[in-house]
Amino acid sequence: MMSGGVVVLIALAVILGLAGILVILFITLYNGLVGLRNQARNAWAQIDVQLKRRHDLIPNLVETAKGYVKHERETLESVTQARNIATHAKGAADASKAEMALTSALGQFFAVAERYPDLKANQNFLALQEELSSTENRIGFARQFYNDQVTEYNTRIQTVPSNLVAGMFGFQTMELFQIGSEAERAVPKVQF
Amino acid sequence: MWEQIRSNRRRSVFLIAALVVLPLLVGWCLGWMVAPEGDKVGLGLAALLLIVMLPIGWFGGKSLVLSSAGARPITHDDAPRLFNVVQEMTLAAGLPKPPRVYLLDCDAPNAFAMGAPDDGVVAVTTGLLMRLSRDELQGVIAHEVAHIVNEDAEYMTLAATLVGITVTLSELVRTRAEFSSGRRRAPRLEHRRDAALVALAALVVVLAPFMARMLYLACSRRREYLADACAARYTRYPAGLASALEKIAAQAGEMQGVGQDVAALCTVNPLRDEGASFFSTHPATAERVRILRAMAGGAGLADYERAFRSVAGGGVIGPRSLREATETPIRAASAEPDPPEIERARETVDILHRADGALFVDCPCGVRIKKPTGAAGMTIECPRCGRANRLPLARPPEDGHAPAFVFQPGRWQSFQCSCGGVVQLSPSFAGTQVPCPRCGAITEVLREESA
Repeated sequence: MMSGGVVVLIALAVILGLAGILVILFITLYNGLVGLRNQARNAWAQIDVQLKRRHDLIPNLVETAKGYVKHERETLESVTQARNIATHAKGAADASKAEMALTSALGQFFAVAERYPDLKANQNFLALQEELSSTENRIGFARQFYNDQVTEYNTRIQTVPSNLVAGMFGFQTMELFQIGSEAERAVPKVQF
Repeated sequence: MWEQIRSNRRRSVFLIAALVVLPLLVGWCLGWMVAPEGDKVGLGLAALLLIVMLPIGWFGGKSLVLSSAGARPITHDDAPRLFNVVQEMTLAAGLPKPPRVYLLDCDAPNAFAMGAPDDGVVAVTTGLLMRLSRDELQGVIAHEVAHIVNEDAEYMTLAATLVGITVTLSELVRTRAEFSSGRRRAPRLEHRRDAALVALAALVVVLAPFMARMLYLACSRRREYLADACAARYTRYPAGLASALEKIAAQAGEMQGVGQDVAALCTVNPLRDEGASFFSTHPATAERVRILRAMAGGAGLADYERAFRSVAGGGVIGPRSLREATETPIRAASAEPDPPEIERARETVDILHRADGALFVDCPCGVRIKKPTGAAGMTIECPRCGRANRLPLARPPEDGHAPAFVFQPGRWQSFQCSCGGVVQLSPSFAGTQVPCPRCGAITEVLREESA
C-alpha cells in the first residue's frame, strides 16, 4: 500500500510538471503572437503617418508651383483633387486606390515641372521635391516593414505549435499591403 | 530577425562575462606575484576598477565619444537629404525612434552608430556626406541603423571598456614588474610548484589582453557581416552599400579623435589599413563588397547567406531567421539624380559652419562671406572688395506686425535680432516665423518673391 501511494504521488508530480511546462509554453506562444500582432499594427500606423505627411506637403507644392506653371492648370488641379480624394478615403482598399492615383498625379506633375527651368530653380520647390520624394520612399519602406511583420505573423499563425494557440484565441491572419505592379513599387515615383 | 537579436544578446552576455572575468584574473595573478598573500588585494583592486569604470562605459560612453570626436548635432533643416535618409531607414528597420544625427568634421568618409534602439545615435563624417550618392548614403545609414537594431552598438561600447580595463591592468603589471624587479622581494620560490605557478601567473597577465581583444574582435566582425545583411534587406539594394564601401575604402584615411572602441562601430575600420588582419575589428572591405555584389537573386537574409557562402564559406545568419526569411526582390537604383559633388561639398561645409555658429553674409560685390563667430563685432569686411558689410537687421515692426526679415531661400542666411542675437536660416527654411535664440522674440520671415 505504501509503495502504491508513492507511485501515485510520483505520477501526480510528473503530470503536474508536464502541465506546468505546457502552460509556460502556451503563455510564451501566446505572448509571441500578441507581440508580433502589435508590431504589425504599429507598422501599419507608420504607413498612415507617412501618407498623412504626403497629404500635408501637397498644398505647399501646389502653392509654390502655381506662379510658374500657368499653362498647366489641369495638372495642378488633378494633383489637388487626387489629394482631396485620398484624404477622405475610407477603408484600406479605397485608400490604397486613392493613394495610387495621387502617386501617378504627382508623377505627371513632376514630369511637367521638368519643362519649367524657373520652377526647377526655385529653392522652395527643390526643398519640397526632396521632402516629397523622401515621403514616397518612406511610404515604401514603411510598407516593406509592415509586409515583413505581417508575413512573419501569418507564418507563425499557420505553423505548429502556435497555430493551436492562434486557433483557440481567434488570431486572424493579416493582409499584406499590395500596391500596383512590382515595377511600380520598385522605383520611387518622383521623376525628374 | 528576433532570433538574430537574441543570439546576438546571448553572445554578448558571454562576451561581457568573459571580459569581466579576465581583468579579475589578471588582478588576482598580479597580487599573488607581488606577494603570496596579495592575491586577495589584487582581486579587490581589479574589482574596484571594474566597479568604477563600468558605469562610465555604460552611461557616459556615448556622450564621451561624441564630444571627444567633436560631433555636432544636426537637425532636419541643416541637412534634409541626410536626415530624410535616416528617417527612411528608421522606418525600414522598424526602429521605435529615429536616432539622433551627428556630423563629424573629417575628410575620411565614415560613419558610426551608438546607443540602444530607443535612444540611438548615428554620426557621419563630412567626407561621407560629400562623396556619397543618395543610394550609397542609404546603404551606409542602413548598416548603422542595423547596428542599433541588433543592439551591437550598446554591447560593443561596454565590451570595449572592459578590454580597456584588462589592457590597462596588464600594462600596469608589466611596467611595475620591470620597474621594481631590482629591489622587489620576489616571492620565495621554495618549491618547484611555486615557480611553475609564478610562470603561469605571468603568462596569464601577459596573455589576458590578447585574449580579451580576440574575443572582442571575433564578435565584432560577425556583427559587421550581419549589419551588412540587414542593410541589404532594409534598402532592398545591396549595390548601394557595396559602392559606398568601395568609395570609402578608396578614400581610407585616419579619423581623428577616434579610438579602438569607436572603431568597432564604424562602417569601415577608421584606424588601420584594411586587410583581413587577425586583429582587425572589421572584415576586409573588399570581401564585404564581393559578398554584397554576389547577391544577385534578392536582397533578403537568405540571399546574403548564399552570397556569403559562395564568397567566404561558412555562414553568418541563424537557421531560424533563414527559414523565416521572406522573398525580397532587389529594387532598381533610385531614379533621382544626385546633386554634383562640388555642390554637395559646398552644402556640407555650410552645415559645418552653421553648426559652429558662423555668420552668413552676402556682399553686394557677389562674394558670400562665412564668418566664424567670436570675432569682434557684427561688421564683416569683404575679402574681395573691402566693403564693410553689416549683418542685416530684422526690419523694425510695422503697425501690429512682428519685426521682419526678407529671406532668399536656397542659402544660409544670418540676421540680427533687435536684442543683438544672431538668427540663422537654413537654405530649406520653410516657415513664416523664427524665434531669436537669445531673447525668444519672433521675427516674421518674408519670402523674396512676396516681399
